[in-house]
Formats: sequence, C-alpha cells, structure tokens
Amino acid sequence: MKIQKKKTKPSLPDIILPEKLVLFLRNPMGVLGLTLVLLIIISAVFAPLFATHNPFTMDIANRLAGPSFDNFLGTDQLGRDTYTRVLYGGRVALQVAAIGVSVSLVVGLTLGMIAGYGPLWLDNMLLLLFDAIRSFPTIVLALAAVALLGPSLSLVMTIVIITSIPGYARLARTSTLSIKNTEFILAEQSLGASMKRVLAIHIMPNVIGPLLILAAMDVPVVVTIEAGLSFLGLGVQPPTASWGTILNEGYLIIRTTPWIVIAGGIPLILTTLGFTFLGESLRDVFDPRLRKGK
Amino acid sequence: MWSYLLKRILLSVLIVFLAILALFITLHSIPGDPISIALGPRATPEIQAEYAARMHLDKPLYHQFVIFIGNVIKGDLGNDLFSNRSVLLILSEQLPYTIVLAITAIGWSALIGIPLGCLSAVKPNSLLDKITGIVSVGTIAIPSFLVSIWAILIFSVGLKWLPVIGAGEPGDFGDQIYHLILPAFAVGLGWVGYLARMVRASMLEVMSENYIRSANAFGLKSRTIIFRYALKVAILPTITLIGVGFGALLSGTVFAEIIFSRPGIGKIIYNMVLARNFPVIQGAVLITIGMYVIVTLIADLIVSWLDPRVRDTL
Amino acid sequence: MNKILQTRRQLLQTIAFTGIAGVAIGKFPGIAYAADGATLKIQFERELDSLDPGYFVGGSPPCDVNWALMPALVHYGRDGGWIPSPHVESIVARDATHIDFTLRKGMMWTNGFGEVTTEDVAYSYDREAVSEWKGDYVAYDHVEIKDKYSGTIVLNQPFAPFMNTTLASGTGIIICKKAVEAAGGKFTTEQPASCGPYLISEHRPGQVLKLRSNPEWNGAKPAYENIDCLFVTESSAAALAYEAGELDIAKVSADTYARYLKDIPANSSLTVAGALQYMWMGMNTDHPKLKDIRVRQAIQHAVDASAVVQGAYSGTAEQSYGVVCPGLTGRRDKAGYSYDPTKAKALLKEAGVSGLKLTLRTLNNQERMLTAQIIQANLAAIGITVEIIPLDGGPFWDMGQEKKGDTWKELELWIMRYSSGPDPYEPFQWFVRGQVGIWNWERWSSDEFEDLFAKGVAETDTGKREAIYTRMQEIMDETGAYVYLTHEPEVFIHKSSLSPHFSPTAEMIVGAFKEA
Repeated sequence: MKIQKKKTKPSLPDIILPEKLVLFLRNPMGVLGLTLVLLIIISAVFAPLFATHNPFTMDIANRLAGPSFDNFLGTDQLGRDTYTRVLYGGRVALQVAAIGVSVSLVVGLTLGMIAGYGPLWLDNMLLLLFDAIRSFPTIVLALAAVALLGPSLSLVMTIVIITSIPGYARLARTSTLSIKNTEFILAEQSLGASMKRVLAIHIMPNVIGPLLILAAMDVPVVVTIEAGLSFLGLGVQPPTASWGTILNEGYLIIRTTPWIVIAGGIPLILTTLGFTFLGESLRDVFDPRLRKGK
Repeated sequence: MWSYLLKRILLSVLIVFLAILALFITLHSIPGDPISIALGPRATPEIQAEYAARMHLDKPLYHQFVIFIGNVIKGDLGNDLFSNRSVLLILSEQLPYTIVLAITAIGWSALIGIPLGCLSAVKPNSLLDKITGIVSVGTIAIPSFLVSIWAILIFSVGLKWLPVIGAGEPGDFGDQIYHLILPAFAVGLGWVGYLARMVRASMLEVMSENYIRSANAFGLKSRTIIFRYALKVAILPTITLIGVGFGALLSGTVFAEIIFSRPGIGKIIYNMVLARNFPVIQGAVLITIGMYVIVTLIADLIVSWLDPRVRDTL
Repeated sequence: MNKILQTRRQLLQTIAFTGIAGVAIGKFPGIAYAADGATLKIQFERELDSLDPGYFVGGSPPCDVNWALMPALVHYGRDGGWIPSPHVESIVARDATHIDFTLRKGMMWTNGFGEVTTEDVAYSYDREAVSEWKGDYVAYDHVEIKDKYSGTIVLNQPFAPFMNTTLASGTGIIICKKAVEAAGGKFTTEQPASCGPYLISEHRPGQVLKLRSNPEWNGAKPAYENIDCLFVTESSAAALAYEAGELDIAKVSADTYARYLKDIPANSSLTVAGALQYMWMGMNTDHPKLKDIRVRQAIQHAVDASAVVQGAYSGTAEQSYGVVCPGLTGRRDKAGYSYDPTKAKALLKEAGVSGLKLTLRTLNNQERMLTAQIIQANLAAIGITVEIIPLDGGPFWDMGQEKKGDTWKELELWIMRYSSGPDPYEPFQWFVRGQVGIWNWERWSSDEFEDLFAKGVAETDTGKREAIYTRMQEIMDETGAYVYLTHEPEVFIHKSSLSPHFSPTAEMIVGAFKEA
C-alpha cells in the first residue's frame, strides 16, 4: 500500500521567520513576557523622551498631589513628579540588572567551563569554592558591607555579582561535563586544538543557552535585591530615584497617600512578571528536555 | 548511606571553614587599621586595646586566623560594643524567632503550594491549572516587603484583626501564634507560587515517564500512583530548591522583622548596621552562614535518603 | 485591648489548641496582662544599650528609664524650668557657685545596699566629671559632704544652667557607690542598685522593657502600676501600632503629625514636646573649601528655609531665624540674610569659586533627609554639588568633637539641632570660644560674643537682654556659618486619658505620667 505523504503547504510565518521564533511567538506567556520586557527596557533607555518633568525638580507647593494630567502618578513629598522618577528608576534597575547579570554570567560561564573541562582536582576545588560562596547570604552580606564601607550602589552590585556567580558556574559546568566527551570535541582535541580554543569556540556556544535563560530569570531577583536594599536606605542614595527609594518614601507616608507605593511597586511587579515569563518561554522553546509536558 | 552522610558533613564543615576564611581575608584586605575595621568607629580606646590583646594583632596573619577560628569554635564571637554582652548571647536570643518565622512561612506555603502543584499537574491545562498558574506567578512577582505593608494596612489597621508589632509574650503560645500570622503570611506568600510551579513542573516530567504509564496500564489507582511513586520523585528538586532558596527566605524574614518590629537575626543585623556595632554584625554573618550550610546539608541528606542514586555522586 | 480583640484572640487560641493535641497550653489573655487600665504601653525608638550615666549614648531610652528608676536632685518641671525631685527635702542655690541640698531620709537602695546618702551624690558626680560625659561637668568642682543626708555642690565657676541642664538631665542621676564599686566600677544594661518609683521587672533586648511599681518606694506612688516599653524603631510602624491599639503613646513623624492635625484618631491627643529646639545647617569655618566668608554667605543666600518647612515638615514646624526659640526674649522675625539665589551666585563669582563640591552630613531620619535633599537642590541651583552623607545617631553626635576622632576636620556642611531651655541665654552657651571642638563645630569665636554672653547671664532687665541676644544672633549671622532652618518639634500622639511629661529634649519622664 502506498503511504500517502501529506503535503503541508508552508505557512507564511514559517517561510519568513525561523522555526524557534515561531514556536516562541505561539506561546502567549512568552509574548506577554517579551512585551513587558521591551516596554521596561524602552521606557528606561528613553526615559528622558517619555518623562514629563525633570526627576529632580522640586515643586514644594504641589507636594503629595494625586494623579492628574500634569503628574500622571502624582507628586512626592518634595513635589517631584512620581511618574518621571519611576521612569528614571527604571534606569537604575536596568543598570543594576545589566551589569550585575552580565558580569556574573561571563565569570560564571568561564569558571564553570574550566571546572567541567579541566582536570578533576581543579573541578573539585572550584566546586568547593562555588558551594562556599553560595552559602553567603546576600542580603546579610550586603548589610554588613554597608556597615563597613557606607551605602553605595556599586558595593551592592559587587555583592550581588559574587553571590550569583556560583549559580551560573554550576550550570555551565554541568553542560560542559555532558558534552566534554562527545565526538566532535574529541575530534577537535585530536586535531591539536588548544584548551582555550576548544572552550571558546566549541564548548561555549553549546553551553551558553541555559545560562542565558538563567540570566533572564535572574534579572528580577537582582532588581528586587537592589529595590529591597534601597528600601532599607542602604542602596542608592538620594536624590537619585530608584524603585526601592520610591517605595521607601512611599511607605513612610503611606497613610497620607497610597499612590507612591503603588507607583514604586508596579514596575517591580511588571519587571518580575516580564522576565519570568520570558525566561520560561525561552526555556520551553530552546530546551525541549526541560519543557514540562506542555 | 552512612559514608555519604559522613562525606556530606565533612564537606559542610569544610565549606564553613572556607567561608570564615573568606570573611577573615576580606576584613584584613580592607584598607585601614584592622581594629577600626573590626570594631567600627564607635569603639572606645579601652575596647580597642582589649580587642588588640585578645586577637594578638601583633602576630602574623595565619596565627591570627587560627586564634580567630579557635574563638569561633569556643563560641567567643566578641562582645557588643555598647552593652558589653557576649555577641553569642545576643544572637542566640534572637535566632529562635527567625527560625520559627522561617519554618512557619515555608510550612504553610508548602502545605498549600505542594498540593496545588500536584493538582495542577494531574489535570494540566484545566481551569484549576490556569488559575493556579496565574496566582503562582502573581504571588512570586510581589516583593515580600510590599506584601507586609499591605497586609498590615488591611488586617491590622483596617480590620484590627491582627497585631502590628512584636512577637508576643514568651510562654504565651497563643499570643505568639497570633503575632506570627501576618509575618509568616507575608514571607511565605511568594513561596506558595514558587513551590506550586516547581512541583507541577517536576510532576509533569515524572508522570510522562514510562514506568508511570505502565503502572497506569496495570490498573493502579491514580492516587496510589501519585502519592507513592510520582510525588516521591518529584519532590526531590523541590527539597533542594527549599534548601538553596533559604537565602531568599532569610531576606524575606529580614524585611518582615523590620516592618513588624519582630525580634530576629534580620532585625538585629539591620539595627546593628545603623549603630555601627561591628562585632555583632560579624557574629551575625557567621551565624547566618552556619545556618545556610546546615539547611543545605539537611536538604541534601533528605534528598539522598529518598533517592539512593544521589549517594554515589559525592 | 478592646473586647472584640480578646474574643478573636480566644477564638484563635481555641483553634490552635484543638488542632494540636497535647501541646502545652499558654496563658489565657485575661491573665497574661495586669488589669487593663494599669498597664501603660509606651514606645522606645532605640535599643537600650547602657544605663550607665557616664558612658551611655544618651537621650531616650536610657534617660527615660533612669529617671523612673534612680534618684536625682532635680527634675524637669511641667512648665519648663526645674523642680526639686521627690528624692530631696530641699535644694537651694545659695550663690552662683554653691548649691545646698538635703536628701530625704530612709530611701533604700535595692539589693540591700542601704540608704541613699550624700556619699552617693559625691561619688556619682565625681565619676561623671571624668567619664565620657564630662563635658557636662566642666563647671563642677566637688561635693562638700556635711552629713549623711546633706551637702553642697561646689562649682569652680558660675554656671547657671547647672540645675537645669546638668542636674535634671540624664547625667545628673545618682548612682549607688557601694553597688557600682562592687560591680567593678562600670555597668551596662542593669543598674547594680536602684531607688525610685519603678523597678525593671523584665528586659527582653530588642523587644520590651517592663517597668513595675517599686513596692519599697516610700514616696508618692506613680499613676501607672506597670509600664511596658516596646522597642519600635520604625516611626511608621509605631503610628500603625498606636492606631491598632497596641501602644498608648507614640512619637510621630512630621508628615503623620500633619495628617493627624487634619484627622486625629478617636480618643487621642497630640502633645508637642521639645518645642524649644532650633535646627540649622552649620559650616566648618576652618575647612579650606569654606574658609572664604563669601562662599559661606553665598550658601546662606541660596537655601530656601520656607521650602524646608513645607517640604520636609509638611508645614508643621516654625521657620527659624536664629537660635532663640519662639516665645523667648530676643527672638527675631528675620535673619541677617535672605533667600536670594542671584546674590548667592554673585557672591560665589566674586570669590572666584566654581564647580564646588561639598558634603552634607545629616541624621538618617525622614525629615532630615528631605531637608538635605532640598538643600542639595538649592545649592545645585547656584552651581554647588552636594553629596549627602546620612549617619545614624552614634556617629552623628560624635562628628564635630575633637575627642572623638578626626571627622571634625573633614566636616563641611551638616544639619544639626540643639535644644534649649526657657531662658534665652541657653542656646548661646554652646557657641562660645570654650566650646570649639566640643559643641561649637563651626569653630569660630569672637570677643564681642564672649563679652555679651557674660553680660546676658547677669542682666535682669528684659529690654537690655533683648538687645544683647539680638546682637549675639547678628554676630552668628556674620560668621556666615549658619543657615537657620526650623524649630523642629517632637510630636507625640497619645490617648486622651494620658497626660505625659517630657524633658526639654523630648525624652519621656514616665514617673510623672498622670491620668488626664
């Protein structure tokens, strides 16, 4: 019996867009996540364009105003426009996230690859180091560092980076271990490729996938840590606006007006939602093994 | 099993040792006079002299480290700069409250989150699943300090059902629970979602395995399959997650303790940071590291008890 | 606690009990506390580190607790000024350098240390004169012991504030010589022996300090049998706790004060304590960046103090035009400089200064931080970049003191508040030559100022005093080192049934709390 092969006409998206992207776009959560992330990035990067006021200009006569056409989200205790400060706060958040996550990623990736690829003693030593660092409590460390050196954003970021590295490193190590003994790597080695070359050109591209996904999921964690520390008064210093400082100011006057806490809280929530959705959709698309029975 | 246990414990000890070493090196690599760095700007000359003598600052660095470790093991973490009470005493007064809060928070969130995750996995893409999904992500997204603030406004000031501050009278069990409700709720809320998603994901993966299908084909009841086979396997990553996520849990308790004025490690660290009371801060960092390592140890041991395959990985 | 609350709590307890079989049953709410009316719940904003009057951090809570626990010669009166304490039969300033006192007989120290005697008084003050708080005892020479209960305090120079500022304050309490010596000469969170209307029945650090009425106190019994002092560091948490009924009195922030003025919770009253306070921004005249007087004057003209009143204090504080507080002789209605950013820029240009960067140190609370941000913006408008350095209580009060480190050299700008008493000479005592490096952190002096100060203390004619103090404030303006901001009040919300009593610096004198 002839087995009929059904010919499917390729649909338009399949022709123009690559397969993975289509898969991604079919997932409503992923699209939502991507939209949120883009919204946040664009509003932060182009903050001056979208802002209606200068974030530092005070207008004491107009303090603690509610939302209006002039001030979309009202004003704070010193008459500064909350909406503008939220936009600029996004810059701080993004800066922290971008620097924090990328440095952790790069360092973690490198260390993880070395651990996975290199000799066993090195692997064990690095593993021990990762576990030791992983047991450092981030917030507590940050508090202690502030006690020593005074509040500063760079200090906070350094601590966040250091405590995030083991997460990336372990992931990179696991992936490296699993492809270390595959044939094409062995082939490269037999051709005389140096360790550096093997790592950089052959292993890295195959390993980086899960790390990028972890990075996407890590961004909200990093942003929340910065917000939390600024909320305690130990992160960004005034008059710089960050979502955490806005929340702090809002909390102190929450009975007088709830708008400031809402204004500071919503971007945090949206950032977390956006990056989490994005990360999970990416994971579903790129790593079917990780896809959970959808 | 026992050799794994032994190896794992040794590993933990090693990790704590390394952490203390890292702390020691950090303290000594900061530019400036080590006494002021260790004791902060608030120490009087007498306290400074006493510290210098006790820590033998004239001796070489490795000797100092040995003394430092020796002190830590003996339980001598120094004294509070102002009240002169032993740091260990101060911290041991506060530690139980944090532990109780953390356990209660994880407890209630596990009690709700794990069954939710299970149910969602058993009926994927049903209405329950979709609602759980939304609720999960929703609760994860809200930072715990925001939850605390809104909880106080609604339940304490608005409805006057629950108290705002304190941990209740010791010895009055009912009062303590009464004061524990809101903080544990605020800290645990995010975990409900997190655990639900984790359990759901692991369960789905397990349930698609062949042996589950076979069990089904054999006619075993769904409930048996879920509870005796699937859940036991699915729970493992969740346990590891709780162990590793203990750090995030601790941050949650820091905020809850500050906002609810509860005693605890988080609150005391925050107050000591403001007061620049360095010995207590240092002791607290050490104790927190110790707690972490112990929790991850327990998590790993539970996992290895449930899953023998893990025992060979060390 | 109201009835409904108790019922709900009992409900919760019942659920807890039935749900967990065999767990030890806690006490019922009705028994856990003293009779509702007699336990007062007050708030302490800071932890209690040490009660030792020679070595404590000062302010509330150590002063509050010590006044309830320990004897003293003099107490703050309710209308300002001082009154003899319940511990003395008499106390009289015989002349400018001698104060005669007689203690009441039969006041017993706890822990079996015998009676309170003149020896204890002498020991206490001799000890203070060499302790960390010796700055308060500069004028003190010694105590002449006449007999077991009476003696004379001898000063080495006339110092009128000794009664008010020193003896009535936290450093004026009397400690037990035998007990403190037996404890090794120093102590921290526990008094080795006490003698007063209250005893400490329980102290759970970080949570609560419980005071209860001392059964052996042979003086007038205090109005409240038990006082629970809850440590609540967050002012918003305290206000919330007050509104939820968990505190009977709480200190509120300026913003909450403004809100309560419009809409006060039921059965509550607001009391403004510490109204005699003056807040200003100081400049270190010795610092190279601020040595040129034109720079300082430029800064004076650049700051808009009315914005501070509105923005940081929600309009609830009075604007300050000098160190003399409202209602006192010599109070001005304008300063020697005015808010004039154009003139400020011109002055800077004249001094040839541009791109100046300065640090501004301040206490780390909401109102001060907002003030700092307003000043930062004001100075940015004339081209000066300001970095705000927030500090907590401890390091803040040590900043300008020469004996407490080197920060006094690096000090540039800072926001400060002192409090004064009812006599107008009082604020000036901190700015004389002898105070440079102690409390005169601006580090200037003037012969005319010293002269006028001496005259003012001795002068009795109001008109002449007004002229003297007005001129003294002008001198302070002319140094260019002061920008007056507000007369920052400390405001407390409390139940209307409570009539609290405060020191001039807004510490609580709980022994004198009465029912209204």
